[in-house]
Amino acid sequence: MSERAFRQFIFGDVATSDRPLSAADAERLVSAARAIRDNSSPPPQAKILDVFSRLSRAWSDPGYPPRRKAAAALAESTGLSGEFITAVLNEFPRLLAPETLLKKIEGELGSRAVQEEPVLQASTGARLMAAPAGLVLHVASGSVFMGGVDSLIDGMITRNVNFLKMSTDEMEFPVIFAESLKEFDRERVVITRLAVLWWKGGDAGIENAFKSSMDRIIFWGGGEALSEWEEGLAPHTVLARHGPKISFGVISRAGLKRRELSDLTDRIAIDIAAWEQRACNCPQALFVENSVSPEEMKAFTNSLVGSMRRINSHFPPSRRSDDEYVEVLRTRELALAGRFASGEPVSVFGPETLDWTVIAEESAGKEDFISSPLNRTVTVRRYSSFEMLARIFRGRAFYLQTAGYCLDDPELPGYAKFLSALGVTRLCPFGAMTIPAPGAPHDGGYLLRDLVRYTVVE
Amino acid sequence: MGIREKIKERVIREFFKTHSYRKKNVIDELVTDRPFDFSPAWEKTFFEAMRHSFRHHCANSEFYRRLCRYKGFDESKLQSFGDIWDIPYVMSDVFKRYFIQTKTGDMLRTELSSSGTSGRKSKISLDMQSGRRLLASIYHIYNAMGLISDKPANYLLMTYNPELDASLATTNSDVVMTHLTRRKEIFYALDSDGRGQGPRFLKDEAVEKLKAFVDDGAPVRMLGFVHHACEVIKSYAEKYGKAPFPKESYILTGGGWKGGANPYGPDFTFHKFLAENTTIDMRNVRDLYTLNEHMVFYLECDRHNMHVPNVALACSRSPRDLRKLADGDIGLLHLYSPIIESCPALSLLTTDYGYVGRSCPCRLGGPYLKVTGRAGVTKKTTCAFTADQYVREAVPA
Repeated sequence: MSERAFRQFIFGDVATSDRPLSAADAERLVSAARAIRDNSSPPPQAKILDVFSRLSRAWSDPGYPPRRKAAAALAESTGLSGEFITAVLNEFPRLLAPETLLKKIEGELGSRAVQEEPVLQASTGARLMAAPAGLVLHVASGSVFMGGVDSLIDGMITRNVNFLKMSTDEMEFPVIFAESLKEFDRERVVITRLAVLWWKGGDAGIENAFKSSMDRIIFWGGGEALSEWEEGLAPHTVLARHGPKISFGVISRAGLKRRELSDLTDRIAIDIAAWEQRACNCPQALFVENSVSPEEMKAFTNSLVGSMRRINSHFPPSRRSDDEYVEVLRTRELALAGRFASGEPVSVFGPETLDWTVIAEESAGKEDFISSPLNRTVTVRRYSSFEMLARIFRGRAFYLQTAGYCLDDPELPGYAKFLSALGVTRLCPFGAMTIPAPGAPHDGGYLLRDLVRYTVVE
Repeated sequence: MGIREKIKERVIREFFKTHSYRKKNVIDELVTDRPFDFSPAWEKTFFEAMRHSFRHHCANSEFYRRLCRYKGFDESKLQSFGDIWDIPYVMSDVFKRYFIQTKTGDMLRTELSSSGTSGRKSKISLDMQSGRRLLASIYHIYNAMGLISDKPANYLLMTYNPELDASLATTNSDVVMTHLTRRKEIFYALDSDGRGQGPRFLKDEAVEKLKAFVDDGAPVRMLGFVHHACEVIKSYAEKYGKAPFPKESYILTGGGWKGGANPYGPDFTFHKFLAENTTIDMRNVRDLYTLNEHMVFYLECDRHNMHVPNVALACSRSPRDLRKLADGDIGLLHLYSPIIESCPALSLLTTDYGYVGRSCPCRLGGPYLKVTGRAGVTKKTTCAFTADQYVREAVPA
């Protein structure tokens, strides 16, 4: 055995190899998956949910050995703090619970029963059935370790034959999860339709095998990798493009007045610190209405700085590379240089250790696009009108995702209409930006609908 | 050629005729014919020059004055040589975003821009006195390294013809280097194609010119971008076999491929490539580290270490908290030099990784730099839209 062992999960069993997947391996696996799809019936939904029910109970126990193993592996591979990993794993059983999964199926596919029998669609009078798309490859992004498994769960509850390509940043958790699934899937209804693999992204030989044979490819990740996956797809292969997204927050004067300041900024700090901003729904900028007085603005900024300090001790920052530190440093220096070069009223808050950074622009006027180097770096900017926000995000509708808000209730419909037209696909109160509601659309569409094929029965 | 370029050319010609220039202040005391002398007397001169420079930039650059006030640093904190390390820095990327100048009495400034290999170009202003000082410094460095010769040489420049764009810093340094010997012929590989189109990489023409230079027998000096040099040498080797560079030839490159991102694969090394495709003496292959914002030349000796000349100081700093690292420890390179008066880059924090070494066995002595890569350019695999993606989008390749 060489120094490095590659652990994968292939249609029901863990496979350990001293070499990574090859193009020939990929061809063989795709061919086996095709045989499974063509020669076996999709498992009944009830049986799948039953497996998840038992799995959810097991993962609720902090002492459950695979959970402990996952926590240790994740700390090592992702560098995220133990506190944060524990918080995510505490939420994991809820993700697996049949109630959540049924809510998802009902919310996204229109009915709990639509995968089993024709269901009347009231608006058309026709009946609909949702069949599995067939062969699905989920391409996991780096750093947000739950993302790949979450996507895989979607693939399983829609009864597909699923492949998961693990990110190079995290190659343990999905295999541990699959092993755990095997423990509870005694009838082997799910695990025999599941392969968790790793190869180095961009390997044309392997990726072409998938591009030419999958019915769906669900992509999560950065822009460069997305471009590679867009090339050379077979005519029948549908690519769901969950590429890079940017999220932000809006705070109106009226909204600010009706909220307790430290509670508000604590919630914002949670959204910023979660996943070190590597998730698509973490805010990278906060827009505060220009009518907020300088004193109120100062109080808001000071409170946010205090909250960032507190969240830092509650959820210590993750391990970072030197390059990441340099990117944060560069962002700070450029912000300050604006102040020194042209007297722009900009303040930069944050420790010398670069653990977190708040860049506060004290007056409205700047309309350049804001993007963050991540790692708890946020810019606070004044906005004077919807038009100004529109100019900042012009031409970037595809990249917009979640807008956290602190608004007065009567303002919400107006903001929703404007932000939706701008390209934002989700509005939610601060503190919930990284916790989307099950069954609600993601990136402007329903994830499960990408994983099924509807049949209309007239 | 505009009036500024004509004056620049005249200054260069005049300098290389006399090898001297009129000295104005203590900074000029640093520029001597002993560019690698780090004696205690030098230490005193360097400190005085840095203090003069600090005072000048604080008095004449609003930007730098504000920065120093923000960092709580003033002249009273500059009492001894060791205090130099604490002089507030400007990060090199700042010059890519802002055009920052320091007022000098000189109205005839030249604006120089970088080649923009990292996506954005920096632009700085160079006054005449600083330009003359730089020229003298460069001359003394090359002289100390034995690269100045009376023997006429043919020049193959892998850089832009200055008639197309005289503001590129790299073009300017390469033009200066054609004055290190008497010149037989100069060929620019990045030039107009003669049909009004350009600049183009005239690879085929450069290959034929190299062949003509080889046949001529006079020493060849190949200068400029590594990538273009490789392309020409590769094509030459494919057509004519190994390039037999005449005796006393040099290949003097100006950086490139920081971080190893070259198109020839991860195992590529320039020296191995040259050994396979040319007969050049490897001691005559010298790379150069310099920055548009800083302009001091860190030239490789024949042992391939980039020596720090005594018009500068260098250290590496931890990217995590900017503490000064020990010699040999890799971090962000931090460079100090008083010689440019028209731009407040006396303390420049670069975004290049590297370290300072002190054990070069060559005869020059003193510290040297090893540049190991470019910082802050990690490929993002997250699903969050990031600043680097924005830069890639905003700047067409």
